[in-house]
Amino acid sequence: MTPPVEELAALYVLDQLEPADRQAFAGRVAREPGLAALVRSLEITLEQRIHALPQHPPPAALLSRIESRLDAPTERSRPPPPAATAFPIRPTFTRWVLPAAAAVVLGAATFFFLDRQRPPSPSVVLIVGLDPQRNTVTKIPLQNPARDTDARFVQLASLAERFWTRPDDLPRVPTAPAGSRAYALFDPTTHQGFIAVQQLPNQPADKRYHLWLVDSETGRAIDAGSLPSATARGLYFFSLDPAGAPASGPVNFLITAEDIASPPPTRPRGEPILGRNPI
Amino acid sequence: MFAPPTTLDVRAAEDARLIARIAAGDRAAFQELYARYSKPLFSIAVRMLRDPGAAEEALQDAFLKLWHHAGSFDPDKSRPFTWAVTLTRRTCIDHLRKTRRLPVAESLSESDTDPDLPAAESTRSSAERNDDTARLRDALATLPEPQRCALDLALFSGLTHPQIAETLRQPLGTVKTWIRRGLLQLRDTFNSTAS
Repeated sequence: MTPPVEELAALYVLDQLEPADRQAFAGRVAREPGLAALVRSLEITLEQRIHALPQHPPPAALLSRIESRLDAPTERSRPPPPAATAFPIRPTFTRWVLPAAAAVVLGAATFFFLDRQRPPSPSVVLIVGLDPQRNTVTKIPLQNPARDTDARFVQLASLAERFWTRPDDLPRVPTAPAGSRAYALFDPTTHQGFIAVQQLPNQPADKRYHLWLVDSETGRAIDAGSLPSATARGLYFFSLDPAGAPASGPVNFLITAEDIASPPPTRPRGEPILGRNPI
Repeated sequence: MFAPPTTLDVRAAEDARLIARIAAGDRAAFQELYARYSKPLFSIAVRMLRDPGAAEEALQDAFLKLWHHAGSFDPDKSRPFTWAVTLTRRTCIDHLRKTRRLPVAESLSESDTDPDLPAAESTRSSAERNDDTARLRDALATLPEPQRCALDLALFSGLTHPQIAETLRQPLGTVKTWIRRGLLQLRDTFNSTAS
């Protein structure tokens, strides 16, 4: 066996191959007995490593809980819960509460229907240059513009990892300044993304970096979470609450330095570090 | 040289048959596979998530996926337990992602001493009951520390290889080599002690 095949086999067993590579390698495993033997031997090693972990029995009632859900529709196919029974209805309010509740249900159902009908975005937003003064934005296509969250996440993560390991693959945008301190990927369909920071300045111990998405149409800043303190360089995942995420249109990114001692901020209060000005 | 066929292969064949029955909707087969897999899979979830409540939720989701996707299992491409491990690890990574927690990169020791956890079986008594586990632990002890560390991060942290390289402050190529060599050396040492 040549080292590249061994490396591929190790990556396959550790589930570290990208989906297309994994599928291609699985096909080889099924066709080539020698390769299958190598993979089996590594799988057995992996399994033994797992059995050598401290073994914790799951709670005794878990199996019955799982079995009670086996025949239930999956999360994605389950209809939204009925809103009309979410609060008690007093007789004196019935005359206006019932129509109001009906309107809410109808509105929610319409929103849900329209949201399902809206085609998933075929592309993700890539902030190529995230600098103290501005963002430089472009869009890049997804190979598989599916609606499925997991499928889109895998593609997003593959892109983020690719740009992290091969920064030269980042799209060239004429207006992007050289030596940007960060870049970011954001999928407006699933409201999740990655941010890669390269050279953030050191902060005092009582500050931490906080990431925001700014809806460029409304100017509203949306909390995307804190970055680990003392972050100088790293690749981080974030996801937004779908209810608060920008519906569509351009987005901007902002990183501020917030006080660690203060409660989690609901809007940017600290000094903007990156993305100070609009695009 | 690869390991000769062992009782593990018989077990794997039985598990593959159970998964085929699960694909046909056989509840008894599901219960049997749960009895075989739930403890090691829960232990992976505990190790990855460091939160017994989250691990319980992840294990539940993993077994639901196993039930719904049993028909996609192909014994020519993967061993049954490895397939179930992959489902569980992906579920744990999803959980870390959805709760916005960064993957656990610290705490590489085996000592799960969280008071909320159900009591772990004594490692030593477990090893005494299982020669393979004991040999694996011996083989692990022979790995150079960087290889063991990189391999465990690849297995249990949910970190990608670039993130592992970042954590260990090593070039990506070096980390990939450590992981590959670690797994191969572990296999070879494990097999040599068997023969």
